[in-house]
Amino acid sequence: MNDNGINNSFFINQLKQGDHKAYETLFQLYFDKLHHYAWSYLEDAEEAREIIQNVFFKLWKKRTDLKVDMNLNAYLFKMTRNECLDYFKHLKVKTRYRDEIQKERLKLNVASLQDDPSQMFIESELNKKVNSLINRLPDACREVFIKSRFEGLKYHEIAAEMNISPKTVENQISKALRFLRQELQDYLTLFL
Amino acid sequence: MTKADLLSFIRNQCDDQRQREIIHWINETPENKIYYHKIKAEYIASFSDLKLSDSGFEFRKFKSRISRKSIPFLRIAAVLLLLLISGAYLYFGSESIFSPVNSDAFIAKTTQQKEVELPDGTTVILNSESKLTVADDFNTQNRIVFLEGEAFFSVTENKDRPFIVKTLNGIDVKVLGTKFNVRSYDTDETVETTLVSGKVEVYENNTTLPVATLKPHEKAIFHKEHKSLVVTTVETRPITSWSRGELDFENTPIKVVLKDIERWYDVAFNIEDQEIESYTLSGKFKRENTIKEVLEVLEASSPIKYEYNESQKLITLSISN
Repeated sequence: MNDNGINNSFFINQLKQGDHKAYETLFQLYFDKLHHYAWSYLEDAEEAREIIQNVFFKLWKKRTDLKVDMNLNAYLFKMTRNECLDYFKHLKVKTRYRDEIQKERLKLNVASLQDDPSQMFIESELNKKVNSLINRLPDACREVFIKSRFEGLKYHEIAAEMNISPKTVENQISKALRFLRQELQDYLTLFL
Repeated sequence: MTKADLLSFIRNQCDDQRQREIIHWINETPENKIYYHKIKAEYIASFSDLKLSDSGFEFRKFKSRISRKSIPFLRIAAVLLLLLISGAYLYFGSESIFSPVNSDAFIAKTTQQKEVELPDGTTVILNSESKLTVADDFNTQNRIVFLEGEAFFSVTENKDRPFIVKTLNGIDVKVLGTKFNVRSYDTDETVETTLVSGKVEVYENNTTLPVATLKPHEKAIFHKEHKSLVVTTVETRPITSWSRGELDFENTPIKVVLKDIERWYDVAFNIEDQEIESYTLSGKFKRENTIKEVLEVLEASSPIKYEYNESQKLITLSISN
């Protein structure tokens, strides 16, 4: 499979090889979204951040086992879900909530996390969001971004091919990375 | 219950009474529960309450975590070499200068100071409890290092490859060839960049327009919480004194002084009288001084009285009456 979405074999191969730029791209695409997901269940922003850091760290440790035709979105999502469930398992032992409402809320959150239909729904929505983000990048930086991150061209190669300066290539890439993080929010607040 | 009711519950916007009612309703029937799960999933998947993190910071945290792993190997390698080649003892034993081969982290622990020479000839002196991580591709396309803590840099000039110091605390420093000091301890409220000679540019993390360009004898103070930057003219000698094995204070807040002493001597301070925290200190001492000598000077030159518990390495400060 070779598409311009996140499940791109070149991109996954870069992750396998420990390429920092690939991890940076993945961070921009997924960190805040997965954090939002974990936070919604844990109801603790710091713990949620810790969980997403762990997810990325585990991905890094297992990078050599990644398959180039894997479903990266599903993989990240499942790891996050499991980390959240693990968190609640330990919480039971560690903390006893005196507050009855808090206890009930967390119980419901665990039930939601274990509810397969809603998890499948979130997973597929997450995948749609990420891919549509890449597709909605402004034209100029989209082409540069895809050539760099998904086709593996070097900055100077892209510059030569597109007849622009390497500095412009670099600027477009960082513009793309910012966009991938923020545009989503700008779009969705319109629907509220 | 309407969808809006459930949403306000999910977003934690109800008072206790309302929460109890909604929880009761959800638990009443399996259908209600399924409906609640569905609304919660839709809420999450809309990403409408998504909060943007400081992604640069999170990514550097990730990078520092993955590079931390290499340190035990470095130590093992050093031990093995010591066993194999006794002649190497002096080189590794001194531990003052290392040349990194790939991606490396250099650490000066509590009480230590470390001098590092980078492949481009740049020398870096690391203060206690500081860490310098050198990027994989250092000196190929660029020269990027990551600093946690404090370091004094003497950068070899190379106009084609700017030397960039990145910190975890909101500031990057870009230089061409120069001598300067960066202090970016997590426990400090500020990140301070002081230029001794040459020229440096100070950036907010991962931005492309400098927020300040420093001339020699200027110090850029970045306040982490307010994200504000102030440039002042300073005497650089006291600021870089630590790199010459001295601590030199000039009207320095006592908290900063004590933190430095803690790092140098691996002790902990306990301040008994709040008033002490408002003191500023001026003075100088050398690394060869013992902690007791330092404390004696402190006691002699201020109304502060100390009590030193040697076994716990705990120093309690109070005001003498």
